[in-house]
Amino acid sequence: MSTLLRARDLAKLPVVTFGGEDVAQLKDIVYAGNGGQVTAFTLAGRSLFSGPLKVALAWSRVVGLGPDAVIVETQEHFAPLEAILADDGVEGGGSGHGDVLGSQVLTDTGTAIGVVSDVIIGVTTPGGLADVVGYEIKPAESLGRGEQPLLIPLPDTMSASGEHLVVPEAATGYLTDDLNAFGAAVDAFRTQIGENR
Amino acid sequence: MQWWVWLIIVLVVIAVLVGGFIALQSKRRSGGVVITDKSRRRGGSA
Repeated sequence: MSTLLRARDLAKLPVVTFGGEDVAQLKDIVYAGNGGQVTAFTLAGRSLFSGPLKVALAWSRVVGLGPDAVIVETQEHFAPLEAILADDGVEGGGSGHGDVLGSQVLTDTGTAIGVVSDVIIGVTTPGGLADVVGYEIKPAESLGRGEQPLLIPLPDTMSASGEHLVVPEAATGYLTDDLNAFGAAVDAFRTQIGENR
Repeated sequence: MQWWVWLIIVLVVIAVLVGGFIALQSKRRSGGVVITDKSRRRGGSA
């Protein structure tokens, strides 16, 4: 199984070139609604007075991703997000559907199970794939699991868009609060629904 | 008013404006997790 990272842990990571230059920091994580593959990161400047940058970093240009920095070869590989998404085959330049943090999670039987507080990303190897494999949710009262955040696995062939995120009812059987055990939960869930990776 | 009172007022206004701008930019730098359009071109690389 891949290394699992919380999206919030990636936010604000500095982007450093091979030359050691600290050229930007991560802002948004952009992923495909039909499969969960991370396609790009939007960027922001590093100084106190900087705002968002007009360019983004394609996942394919990431050389290394660690707990303290993202390594790229050179900042010349930064490109407008629309161009990166168009290269990736996203129709219409991928205007996006907004931030999923705070979105309601529903099962396919129509039960609200909570609100997304973070997104779990599985990174296979440097230069490999990064996929959204689960959500961290603030559980709904109806779930009867208290207020501690829970992790819920997603199918590999998920489809997500809009303000509500729909997950299979079977995923609720694999809820856990332990990120270290979550990789096994994702594998077990995907095996159950016939999606062994 | 004395000249130094005006000086203090100007400095305070500048400090508030700069502080506000820095706070605004800090908020704009904070990120999230964004879903892109789920429809894809035919033949687009996945």
